[in-house]
Amino acid sequence: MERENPVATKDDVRSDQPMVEFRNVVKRYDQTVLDNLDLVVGKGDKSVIIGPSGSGKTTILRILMTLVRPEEGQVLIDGTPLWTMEKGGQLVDANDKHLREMRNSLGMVFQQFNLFPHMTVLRNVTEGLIRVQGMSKDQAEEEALANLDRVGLRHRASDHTWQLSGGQQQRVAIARAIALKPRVLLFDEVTSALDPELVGEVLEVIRDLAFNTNITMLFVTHEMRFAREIADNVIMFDRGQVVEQGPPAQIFDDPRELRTQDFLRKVT
Amino acid sequence: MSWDWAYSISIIPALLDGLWVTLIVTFIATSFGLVGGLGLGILGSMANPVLSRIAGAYVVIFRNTPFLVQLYLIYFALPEFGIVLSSEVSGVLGLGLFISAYMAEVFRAGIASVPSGQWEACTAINMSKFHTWMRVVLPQAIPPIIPMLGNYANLAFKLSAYVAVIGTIELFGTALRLGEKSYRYLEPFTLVGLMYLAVSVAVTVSLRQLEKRMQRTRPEMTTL
Amino acid sequence: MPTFWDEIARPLAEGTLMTLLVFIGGIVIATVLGIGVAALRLSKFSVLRGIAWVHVEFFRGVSVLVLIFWVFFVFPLLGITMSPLTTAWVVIGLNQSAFIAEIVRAGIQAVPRGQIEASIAINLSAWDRFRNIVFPQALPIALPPYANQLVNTLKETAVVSLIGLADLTFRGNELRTHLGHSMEIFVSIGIVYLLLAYLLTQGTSWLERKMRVEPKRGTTPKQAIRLRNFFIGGGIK
Repeated sequence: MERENPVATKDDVRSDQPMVEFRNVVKRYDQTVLDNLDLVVGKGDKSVIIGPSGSGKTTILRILMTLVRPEEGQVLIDGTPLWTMEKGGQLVDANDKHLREMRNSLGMVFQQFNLFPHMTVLRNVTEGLIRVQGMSKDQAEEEALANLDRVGLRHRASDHTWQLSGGQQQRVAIARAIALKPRVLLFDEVTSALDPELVGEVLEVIRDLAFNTNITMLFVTHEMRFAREIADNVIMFDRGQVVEQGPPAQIFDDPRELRTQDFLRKVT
Repeated sequence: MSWDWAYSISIIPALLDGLWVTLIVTFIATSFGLVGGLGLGILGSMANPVLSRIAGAYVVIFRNTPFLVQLYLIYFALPEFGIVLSSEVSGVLGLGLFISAYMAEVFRAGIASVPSGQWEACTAINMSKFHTWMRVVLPQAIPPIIPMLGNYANLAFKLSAYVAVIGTIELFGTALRLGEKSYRYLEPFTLVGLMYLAVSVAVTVSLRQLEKRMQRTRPEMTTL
Repeated sequence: MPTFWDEIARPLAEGTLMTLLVFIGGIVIATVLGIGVAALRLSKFSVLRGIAWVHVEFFRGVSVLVLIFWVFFVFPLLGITMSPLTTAWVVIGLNQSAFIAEIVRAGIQAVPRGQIEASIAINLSAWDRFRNIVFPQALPIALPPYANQLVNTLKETAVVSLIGLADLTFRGNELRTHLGHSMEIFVSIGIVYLLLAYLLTQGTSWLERKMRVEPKRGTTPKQAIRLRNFFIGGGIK
C-alpha cells in the first residue's frame, strides 16, 4: 500500500490510460535515431528503457523534455500533443508558450546532474519554485527544504554544490526536479557518472520515489538489477524501435526476441 | 563633397604600389616575428629561470606599451646613441619586435601543450636535447598554433599602417600624401580602408577555414 | 626658471589624464555596444546575426589608424563635425566593440549546454534562463579575455595623438621636439603605459578571483560568494 505522500500532490492514479505516447516518431541526426517509434507509457507507470549504447534511448527522454524536436510523428502527454498545437483549426508547430505550459508537467534528472554551480543547494531548488511557480521566497524555501529532506540533504541546504559529492549532487538534482511536482519524471542514466560507491544512495532515493509516489517515471539505465526491482514495465529498445516490452520478470527471465536475449547476455 | 570617380580611378595605381609596399613590410616583419617569437618561446619554456624571466619581461614590455611609442623610440631615440635607421628599416624592425612578443606567447603555449611524457620518452631513448626539440617537441607544438600565428600576421598587416607616421610611403602613407596634394581625403582614405578590409577579412576567413579543417583531421587536438 | 615639474612632469601628467579620459570613454562605448552586438550574434533571426557578423568583421578588419583618419578627415566633408575627443571615443568604441562582442559571445557559449538544458527542465523562461543561469556563469569566463582587451584598448588610445589630442604619446612627442632626450622621454611614457596596464590587469584579475564559481585555494567560499553577490547580484544568503 502507498505511504502518505508529502511531495506529489497531483494525483495521477495508476491506470492503463496512457500518460506518454509516441506515435510514428522519427528523429534523425546523421542517421536515423528514432525510426517510426511507437511507445505507450501508462499513468503512474515506472518504465525502464534498456538497450545497446548509442541506440537513441536518451533521445526519447530529450524529446519528451522538449530539448530536441522530432522530425515527424506525434508525442502526446496525457493526450495533449507536445510538439504541435492547434491554431485556427490547424495543427502547427508548438510555440514557446505551449512548450512552457507542457513543461509544467515534465521534469528531468540528468546524467551529469547539471546543478547550477553559482547557486547554493537551496537556491538550486527554489529557483524554479520562485521563477516558474511564482512562490514567495519564504514559501519556496520551505517547500525546497521539505524536498531536500526527502533526499536526505536538508542539512546541506546552504552549502554550495561544489562542496557535495557526486551522489549528493545527484540527490539535489532529484529534489530540484520533484519540487516542481512533475507528472512525468525522466531519469537519464542518472548513476552513470557516479563513482560505484555513490550509486547506492541515489538509487535509494529513486526507490523511495518509485514506490511511494504516483509520478509517471521513465528511466534510461544500465543498472539491470535496479530496473528489475522498480520497473512495472521494461522496454527493450534498439535501432530506433521498441523490440519488445513487458513486465521485468518476462523481459529478463524469458525474453522472446533474439536481440533482447543477445543484449541481456552481454550485460549480465 | 561628392565622390569623384575619375579621381578615384586615377589614384588606384599609386595605391596598389602602396599596397605592395605594405605587403612587403608585413612579410618581413612577420618573418622576423616568427623567428623572434620562436626563439623567445623556446627561451620562455626553459627550466633556466634567468632565461625564461628575460623572455617573459620582453613579452610583458612589448605587449603592454603602444606600438606607436615603440616606433618613436626606435626612430627618434636610437639615433641619440648613434644608431640611425631609415624610416623603412625602423618600421619593419619595430613591427617585427612587437609581433614577436605576441608570437612568443603562442609558441610558448604550443610547446607547453606537448605532453611531458614526450620529453620523458626522449630521455628514455637517450635522445639529445637538440634532437628532442627538433624532432619531437616542435613538430608537435607548431601545427596546432598555425591559425593563431596567422591571426598575428594579420595583426601585423593592420598595424603596418603606423609606419606611415614615421615617413614610410606604404599604403596608408600613399593615401596621406595624395590627400595633402589634392585636398581630397574622401577617395584615398575610403579606398585604402577598403583595401585593408579586403585583405584582412580574406585572411581571417581562410584562417578560420584552416582551423576548422585542422580540427576535423586532428580530433585529438580539440578540447571541449 | 623652468622647473622639472613645469617642463616635463606636468605635461606628462596632463597627457596621462587625457589618455585615461579617451580610454574610459572608449571602453564604455565598446563594452555597451559589444554586449549588444554579441546578443545580436546569438539571436535566432538570421538577419540580426548577419548584421552583427558584418559589424564584427568590419571593425576587426579595418585598422584603427585608417578608421580614425577616415572619420577625422572625411566626416567634416560630409557635413558631420565632431571634436577630436568625440572622434576618438567613437572610433575606439566602435573598433573595440567588435573584439568585445566576440569575447562576450565566446563567454556565453562556454557555459555548458547542460546548464541550459537543466534550466529548460525546470521550465524557466528564456529571459530567466539567460539572466539567472547563463549570464552569471559567462561573466567570470569572459573576464580574463576582457582584461586583455582593456590593455589593448589602452594601447590603442595612442592613435589619438595623431589627430591632435594631447594624450600621453602626444605630449611625449612634443617634449621630444622641444627638449631632445628622446630615449628618456619615450622610456618614461612607456613606463606610464606599463603601469596603467598593470593596474588594469591586477584589477580585473582580482575581480575574476572574487567572481569565480569555485574558489581557488586562498579564498574562502563565503568571501567569494559575498563578493560575487556584490557584483552580479546572486541573492544567496
